[in-house]
Amino acid sequence: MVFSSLIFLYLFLPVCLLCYGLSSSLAWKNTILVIFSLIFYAWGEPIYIFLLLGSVIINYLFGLAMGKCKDQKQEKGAKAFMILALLFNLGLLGIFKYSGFLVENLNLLPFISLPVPSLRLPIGISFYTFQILSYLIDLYWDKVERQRNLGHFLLYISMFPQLVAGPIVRYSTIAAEIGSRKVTMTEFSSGISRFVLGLAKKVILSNHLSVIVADFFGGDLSQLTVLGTWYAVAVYAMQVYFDFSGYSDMAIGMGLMFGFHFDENFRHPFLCKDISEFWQRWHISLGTFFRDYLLYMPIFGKRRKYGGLFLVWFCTGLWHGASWNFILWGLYFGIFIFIEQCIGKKKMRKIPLLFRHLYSKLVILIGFGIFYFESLSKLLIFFRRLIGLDGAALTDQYLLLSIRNHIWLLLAAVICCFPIAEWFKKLGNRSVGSAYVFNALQTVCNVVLLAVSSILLVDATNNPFLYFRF
Amino acid sequence: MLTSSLLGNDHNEIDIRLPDPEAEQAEALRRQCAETAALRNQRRLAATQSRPIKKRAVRKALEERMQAKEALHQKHLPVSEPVIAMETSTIITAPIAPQQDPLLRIREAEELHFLEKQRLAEEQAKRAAAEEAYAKESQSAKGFCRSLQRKAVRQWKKEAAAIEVQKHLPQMERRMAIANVLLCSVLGLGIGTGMLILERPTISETENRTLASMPSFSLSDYWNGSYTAGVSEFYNDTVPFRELFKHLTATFRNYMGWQTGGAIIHGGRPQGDNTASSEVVTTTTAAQTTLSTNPAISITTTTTTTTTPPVVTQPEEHQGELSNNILIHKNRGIMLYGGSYRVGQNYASFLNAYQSELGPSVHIYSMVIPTPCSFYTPEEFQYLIGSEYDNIQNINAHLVDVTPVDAYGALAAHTDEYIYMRTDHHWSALGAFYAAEAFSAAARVPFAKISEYEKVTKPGYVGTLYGYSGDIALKNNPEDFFYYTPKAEYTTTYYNPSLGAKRTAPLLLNLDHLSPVSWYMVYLGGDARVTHVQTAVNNDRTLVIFKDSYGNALVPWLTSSFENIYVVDLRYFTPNAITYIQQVGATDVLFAMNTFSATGGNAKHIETLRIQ
Repeated sequence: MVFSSLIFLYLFLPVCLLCYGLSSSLAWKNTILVIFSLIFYAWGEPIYIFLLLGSVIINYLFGLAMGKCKDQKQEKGAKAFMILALLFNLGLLGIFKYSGFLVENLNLLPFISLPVPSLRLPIGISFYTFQILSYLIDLYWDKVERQRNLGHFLLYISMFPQLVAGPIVRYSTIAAEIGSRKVTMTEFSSGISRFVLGLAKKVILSNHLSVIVADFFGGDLSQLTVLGTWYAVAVYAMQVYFDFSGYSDMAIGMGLMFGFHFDENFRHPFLCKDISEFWQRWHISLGTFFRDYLLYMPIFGKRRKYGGLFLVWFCTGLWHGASWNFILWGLYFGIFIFIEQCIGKKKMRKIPLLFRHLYSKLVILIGFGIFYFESLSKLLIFFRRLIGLDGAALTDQYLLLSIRNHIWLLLAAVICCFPIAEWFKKLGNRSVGSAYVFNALQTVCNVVLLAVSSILLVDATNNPFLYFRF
Repeated sequence: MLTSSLLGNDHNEIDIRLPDPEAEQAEALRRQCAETAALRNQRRLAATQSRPIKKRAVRKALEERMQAKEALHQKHLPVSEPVIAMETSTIITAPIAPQQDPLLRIREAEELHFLEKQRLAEEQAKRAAAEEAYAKESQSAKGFCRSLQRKAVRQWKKEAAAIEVQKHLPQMERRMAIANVLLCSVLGLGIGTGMLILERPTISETENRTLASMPSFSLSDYWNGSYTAGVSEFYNDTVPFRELFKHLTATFRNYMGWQTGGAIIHGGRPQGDNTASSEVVTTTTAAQTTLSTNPAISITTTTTTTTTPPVVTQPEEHQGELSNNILIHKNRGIMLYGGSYRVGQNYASFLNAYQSELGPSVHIYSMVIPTPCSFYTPEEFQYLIGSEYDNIQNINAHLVDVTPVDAYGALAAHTDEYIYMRTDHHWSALGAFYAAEAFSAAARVPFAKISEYEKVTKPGYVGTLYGYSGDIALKNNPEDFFYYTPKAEYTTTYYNPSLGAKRTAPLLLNLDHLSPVSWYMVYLGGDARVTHVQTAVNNDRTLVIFKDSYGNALVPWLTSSFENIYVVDLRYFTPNAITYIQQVGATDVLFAMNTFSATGGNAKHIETLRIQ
């Protein structure tokens, strides 16, 4: 089940919220949330739900064991359990996500021909594995208490708002709220607003931008013009941003409705001035995860700046998918961050703002090109088109037509890359009267966006057959 | 009231209390002076204190003046303090000589008065000087001060407003939150309940398909995920008022860009390769559906007198040849043609194989029909499309003994007439007329004039291209659908694609029970069935037409040209084509299909029919 579907919006979520609201005690509320989360996951993964449950139970036991070792001051025991847990979780992730990719690449070597396993990727395994790891590592580092309640641990892992597409919520973020939390009317309301905003980003902006991208990149790349390639990759960047941040917004909004406060996952990434800043604004939960749990691993010591950095970016790329282009994509960003670190923050600041913006946007756009083309041969064509090799024309009527046909959509998308909601809130909070006006405006916006998104979702199943036969 | 009286002398009590008007007067004057001075000082002090910008000079002047005043007081009013003290208490602190000369006292008072006046004048002068200094100094600092002041005021106002807002914010937020939650949940729950209790549609007219149905539960379906997926699809697909919402969506999408007077392309650019050695073929989208639930068809067959139920089954796997690329220009939908020389050559070789197998006794004709994109694509988008003319020429060049029919030329001569439907991917009856005319000339058969037919017009037609492109311009500009009924006599018999289930029914359907989007089904009631038309013509000519849906519209125009016409859809026919042609004793075989079919995925069916 995806958030942006009618059955989720108008059947699953209302029923879940009603049950949640009607249940009297926190224990009941947690139970309801777990039940609905399991239904949610089983809806899409009737079999792999058992993988999730098994993983939760085993990691719960790992946590208990490690906690016990810590209590008895047996550091060695704790370390052994930590290593075991790491092997178990990364092993699961490796088997289900990367085994096919690994075998395919091994087969490229001479004298090796292994059967390629064709395991379907369990939904959300990348996210929940990392959540489990955040708990275990924090526990090992004495940052959190062990969770003795299996139900609570299950709730933390399986909570449906963040289960399938993030953000990666750390255990430390919501550990306290699992045991005691309160939903206020104001927070519930802002949760709704956040959710609707995310839905609109996904359904109104991202889905329609994807049509443009498919127009240009989906077909024959040899027809691309130079400007057309740049245009399409820029549209693709916005599509991914609205898609992913929309999902995060919906997750954060639903979290608020249930009384949880997740950390922000996106902070207007396209406003960044350099690549380091971009990654502080883009998919923050992943970036900080790697920073805290991988980069600062003691094994790197002083080599952190070089080895650790590239390992982090290799992993970041690989995390996004088992394909070479993602690895390339991660390392590509790693190189730029390395360069920026070599230049140093102070010197970076001295570069005129315009150049920094141009530089960062250029790098980001090309990065999204690498992200899009999973086939390396197509990626090569993309690069050649981008700089006008192979006799690519600069522009054509088709590009003009595409821009003209989508001009308002594109404008709206560009505007929405800026923090306009914050600006409006600031403007509104100047006086009581305007605060009322802006809040009322927000409510109206919510209703309109929800209605428009829902109507657009009706058309999502448009699969015309149309007697379209010759 | 105060007197310079003497107390302590008992016998002279009355005397002491004697009023002394002069002294009183002087005293009052002095008091008045002192009071005004004190008041003024107070005011001045207050004024200087309240002023935010105190200048050193001002303060200095003030202090000087205060000192001067005090000195003056001490010098000239030694008695004033005890006198004032006497007023408030009855304690005598400074005895005054009881017998004082009244004149002296007057003089004293006068002197005092004079001194006081002098002092006042002095004070005034000092004050003026101080004020002048103050003004002077403040003048110099005026701009700076003023801007500072303004800034401070603004800041202060802002802070005050913020404090005010902060004070009211929680209350306001709570109120607005309640409103927000109420409105959104009313909307959400309202739609949710509506979706549960309102009647769900089962078919989509504009998409011409049966909507998803609720799957039946089985454990195996559940485990492989198809049950839950089916429930989701059912729920999402059969939304009450679906068509209305789709209409709204199309309207909304229309506003995403700027389409006035311009063109719009849905689905990207077409792909084709018009070089002989290419591997690329036109885009093929295989849509899956069954039309068997379409009530329109069963209604039309109730009038037939067959014993077997009407057979309208469609093959499971439908290979519709459609390109996803639709250009909307001047309210006309144009499918953009890609083309493929390689497939065209295959097509020609398939026909050549028919000719060589059937021998010279059977005439084979190839009519490749161009689509609107050859005639109505605006100049600036010509570069997007492959040339249908060139593709047809390429095919014709590869035909051996097969007679090409120049449908392109026949249509090109009449582009200002209504030869294609605007909102549908098909041609119109008129376009088919010109092509049929060209064919009859090539086949040397009689051909009835258009006046021999009766024109039937049905307004309000919006064809398939709306559903496919979702472009509201088409929906908002319906056209008239028209067809021609032959006056000549004929009987029509239908078979299913495997030649079973024979039944008689009209050649042209009654459209009253069909939704407008399907009106092209007027010809032969659709594609799949094998149709036999026996006409009143007596010329021993028997024609077999292998066609796609474009060919359907040709049939009525040939009812005065051939004795027997057999119409076979090349995608659905299951028997061997050669056997069939020989069975019905065909003298002529016409392959009639549009360019998308001839140079696309449908071409291979021709070969399949021959060898199956």
